[in-house]
Formats: sequence, structure tokens, C-alpha cells
Amino acid sequence: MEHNHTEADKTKKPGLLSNKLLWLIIGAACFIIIGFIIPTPQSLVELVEKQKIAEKLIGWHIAHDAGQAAWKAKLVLGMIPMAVIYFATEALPIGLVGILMPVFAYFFQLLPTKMIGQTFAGDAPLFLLGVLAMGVTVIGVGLHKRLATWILGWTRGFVVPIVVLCVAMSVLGSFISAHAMAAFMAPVMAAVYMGAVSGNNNQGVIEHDPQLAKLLLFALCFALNVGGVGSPAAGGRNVIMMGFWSDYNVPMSFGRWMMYGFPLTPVLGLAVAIYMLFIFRKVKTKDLTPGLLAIKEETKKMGKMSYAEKVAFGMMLLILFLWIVGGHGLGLGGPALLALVIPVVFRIGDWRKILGGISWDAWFMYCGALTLGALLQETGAALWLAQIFLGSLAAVGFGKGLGLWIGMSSFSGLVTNFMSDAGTTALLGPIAVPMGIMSGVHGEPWSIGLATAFATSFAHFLIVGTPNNAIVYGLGVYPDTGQRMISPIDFVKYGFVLWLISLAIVWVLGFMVLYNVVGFPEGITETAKAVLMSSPH
Amino acid sequence: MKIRILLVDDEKEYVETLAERLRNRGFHVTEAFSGSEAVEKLKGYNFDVTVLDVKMPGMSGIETLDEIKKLKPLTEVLMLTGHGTIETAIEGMKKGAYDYLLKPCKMDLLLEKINGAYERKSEHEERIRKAMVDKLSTSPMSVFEK
Repeated sequence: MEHNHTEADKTKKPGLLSNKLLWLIIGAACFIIIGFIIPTPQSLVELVEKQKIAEKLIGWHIAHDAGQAAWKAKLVLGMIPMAVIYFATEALPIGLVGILMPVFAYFFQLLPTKMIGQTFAGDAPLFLLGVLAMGVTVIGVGLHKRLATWILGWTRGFVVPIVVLCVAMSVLGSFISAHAMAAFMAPVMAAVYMGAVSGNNNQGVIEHDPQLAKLLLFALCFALNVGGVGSPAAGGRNVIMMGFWSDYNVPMSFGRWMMYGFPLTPVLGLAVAIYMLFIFRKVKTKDLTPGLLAIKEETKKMGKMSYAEKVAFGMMLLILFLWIVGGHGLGLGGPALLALVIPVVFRIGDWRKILGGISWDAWFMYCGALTLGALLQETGAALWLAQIFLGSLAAVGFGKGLGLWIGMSSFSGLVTNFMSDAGTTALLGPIAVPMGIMSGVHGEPWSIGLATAFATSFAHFLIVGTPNNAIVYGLGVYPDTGQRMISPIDFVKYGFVLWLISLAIVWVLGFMVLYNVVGFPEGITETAKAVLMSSPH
Repeated sequence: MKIRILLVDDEKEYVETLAERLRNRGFHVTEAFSGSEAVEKLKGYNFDVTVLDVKMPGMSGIETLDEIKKLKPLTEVLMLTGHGTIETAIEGMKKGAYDYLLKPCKMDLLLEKINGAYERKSEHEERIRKAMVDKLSTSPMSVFEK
């Protein structure tokens, strides 16, 4: 854990990105310029009039005429670049950026007060609250460690452990916090590495095999990343997308998401393994068996499964079962809230510890994203943006169906490398969903929403793309020298091609196969279109 | 993973014998015969525990301890002392050494202290790791902060 930094590190001056005040001002300036200085586009005024959005806002007493209604939509549009800048530069904590959304909505009267509050108290926020609480309990009792050691502990040799690691991490990453898994597994990978390279040598300096270290850490990191497509519980970005669909009256169930996403996870995990084994085919150490004893030791240290672990495991299975079979009656929030109740009732978790362990920063950010989604939808800003983007995409043949899904997933996959996955979904989702609806293709807006959300799991090529990358980089140090095992540029070097491979798998297996095999319910496009083009509520 | 020990004493024979006995018990042992040599070895390598003689010619045990704590604050230090230098060992503990042992020490006692020191280091590292993860989970950009 003691990191040796180079002289260059020590003398490095803070970069432009770290000047948070500057970015805070730039973000605010973008909002002011778009909201108050640039004139409202005539096309926006015409749209809010034609779609009767102005009438709706006047009916809610938040606009006097079409001009003011269009100006409110323009204010919402100004919030987008501001949020992009804040998410990308972390000029403000992400939770605070989330809180800014309802703050702006209240103070500029962008929505009726009742509707603003609802974005913080719907099924999606409660679902996410439960998912976060479940993570606290599972990690608190150490169940994630046992699951990981069960999966990897039996493996021997070289190829099998890498394949099992990648497939298992991608599958686990669909249900358990990938951040927590990365935090636990990165030191385990370091131990596996040390065991493998040191063998029986107990004297002198260990001869390192940097390629092996990179193979182990990147395999872990990328496999956890791709697991994000598997289920809505994989991360807030998926929950946000579910919230957007609900806004258009076409909610998707947990089981339905899994039908589209879960079959992709083992394939993506296997692709990560094959790619890693190919890229690092010249590693010197080709037997991990001595290192894998480290995992066996971890398992031994844990002893038998404790009462707390059994209850946590049972709770996970019960909630998962209810998510899949509970249907719309229970929603997603109902079962998820059991994650707050069961640990306390069965005395495996302390109420205050659970509350303290929940990432409120993440929760506020997600709720803020839902507020932004509602703002974009209700003011007509999303429709206006969607029309512009759809027009441009149609001109290059990506206007609907597969072309649109490929275009949208490529864009969200690119953006997610520069800012948080949830932020990407929060900003692109409200635009992507109406684009899908307007394209009129059967299965929209689910298909484009899934395309957008799936690609946000592929933040492989920039270190700041996802906390998994940053955690693996931060904890990936040689235990004996304290030097880092990977460098930030390695993410670009090894992650970019994998990013393309991941997208290609989703395009082929997801869009061309699973979308057709699983199919989409009749009428969802029409229902969503009715909401998009709705007359006053 | 094997516990990495740095043995520092100017009595060459004593160091070599002790190192051999520790290696036979599964430790990864490196030897140094002066304070300055120990400091040099620490610069390029992370040791879990340093077993450090208090009384050495040249750089003293206390001076070496100061340097170790400056270079690698997490490395735990066990002070080896004779009856006449217990005061110095106490001073060492005030400066951050884990514990002290009277020379000649029994192997069982030495192992117990080494394991205790390693456990303390591991706990400390775990707390640092947790804090790091908490920060990186909400702000990946903080990975670039010192």
C-alpha cells in the first residue's frame, strides 16, 4: 500500500481539469448564455405551440404564453452543458449536481412543485435506495468475498482461472456493486500475482512480470465493467433508464431487462478473457496455481458461512425472485425496500450503519437525473433535441432501427468514458427515448433505451470513466516495491479495442439476435408516442 | 503472501543466523548491517516489519527509525535492545516503533511480535484502502490527487 511516486509525480502541477472553481464558473456561464443571452429558436417556439406543450405549461400556471414556455424549455437545454461540465470535471460533488436539477426546477418554475417532488419519490428512487442498501449489507457481512472465493478458489493453471475470473466477475457484476467487487478483488489479484511470480523463492528481490500484473488487473476491471448490462440492479444508470420508460408509461420489468441483457454478460465476460489472453500472450509466468493458494487462504480464514452471510444470501435471492416474478404490482421499489428491513429485523445489520453506508451522493444524483428527464420531457426540450439529432442521423442513414441503435450506443459508449455512466444515461436518455419513439420502429423506446444504457457499461479506455477503473488503478500496486502495476495510458492501450469489441457484441448478439428472439410487446411505441405528443395533462 | 522482514544489526553472524531461522519459517527476509544500508534497501522495497537493533555504529537505531518512518510510515519497526538500552527502545516506541525485544530473544516471542506488527500494518493498510475506495467510488477523478 505504500506507493512510491516518481520525481515527475512529485513535481506535477495540478492540471486544468483540477481547477474546480474555473469549471464551476464555465458551467454556470454556459447555463446563463444559453438560458438568458441566446435568443429562443423560432423552431422551439413553434414546437411548444404545435405540440400543445405551451398550453400545458400555461395550464400549470408556470408560463403565460408560448414564448415563455419555449424560454423555459431553453433554460432546461442550458442545464445540459452545465451538467456535462460538472459531471466530467467533478467541479461539484455528483450528488450536488443532482440536487441542482430540482433546485433550478423550483426557482425557475420549470415544473409544478408537486411534479418536482415526485421525481424523488417514485418507484425508481426507492428501487435504487434498496439496491444501495443491499450492497451495504452484502459487503458488510463479507458475502461478496465468499462468492468470489467460491468461484475462483477451485481453479488451477493459467487459462482456466482467467476465463473463470472474467465470466464470473461479469455475471456477479450484474447484481452486486462492481465497485465493491473491484475494491475486494484488486488486492486479491495482487496476492495471486505475487504468489505466482515469487513461487518458492524466499530470498532476494522478486523478478516481476508486469504483463501478468496488467493481465490480472485489466481482466478483473473490464469483466466487472461489462457486467453492467446484465440486470437493472447492476447500477444506477439502468435504474435511471427504467425511470425514463416509466415516464412514457411503458415501464419495463426487472425480468424483461434480464431477458435482453443477462445473456450478454457471459459472452462479454468470455470476450474479455479471450482478448486479454491474446493481448498478454507473452507473459512469462504461465502458471497461477501458487498464487491461487492466496484465494484458498482467504476462504480458510473466513471459516464456515456465518448466520449473517446466510441471511444476506437468502435476502438477495428473495429480492431477486420478487423482482423477477413480482410484476408491476410490487414494482421494483417494493422488493428492494426489503433490503432495508430484513437486515435489521434479522439482526445482521445495524440500522444506522446501513443508513451511513448508503451512497447518498449517488442517490441524489440519480434522483436529480430523473428530475432532469422530467424537465426535458415536459417542457418539450427533449422532443426538440430529438428532432434535430434524428434529422442529422437520418441524413447519414442512422435514422431508425439498427442504425439508430448503433449510432446511439456508440455515442453513449464514447461519452461514458469521459464522465460517469449514470451521468451519461441521465443526459442522453431523455433525448434518446423520444428519438426512438419518433422513429416509429416497433419496440421503441425500449430498444433505444437499452442501447443507450448497455453502452454506458463500456467505460474501458479512460481511467475516470468508471470508479472500477480508478479503484483498480489506485489499489493495483506491487506489494514489495509499491510501484503501480498499471498506468493511466494502459487503459487507452488495452481498453479501446475492447470497447469496440464490446459494442460489436451488443450490436450483433443484442440488437440483431436478442431483440428479435425476445421481441417487444405490442403497443409500447404507440403508448409512448401518445405521451410524447400529449395534449395538456 | 509472505511477510517481508528487514533485519538490521551490525552483528553480522547474529543477523545471518536469525535470517536463516526466519526464512525456514516462511518469511521473506532481507539483511542489512548498518542503519544507512537499511535506509537504502527501504527506498526501493516495501517491508512489512523491520527488526532494528538500537545500538549500532554510525547511524543509530533511533536515527534509522526516524528515517524509516519518514520513508515508509506504514512499515512497522521492532526494536532490538540490550538491558542497558531499554530507555532508547522506549524512546523508539514514542517515535512510532511497534514494540521492543530484549536481546537475545526467544524465537517464539520474536515470531509473536512480528506477527502482531504485521497485523497492525495490515489493519492500517485496510483502513487506508477503504478510505481510498470510498473516495474513488464517488469521484474517479480523485485518482490523480496526491
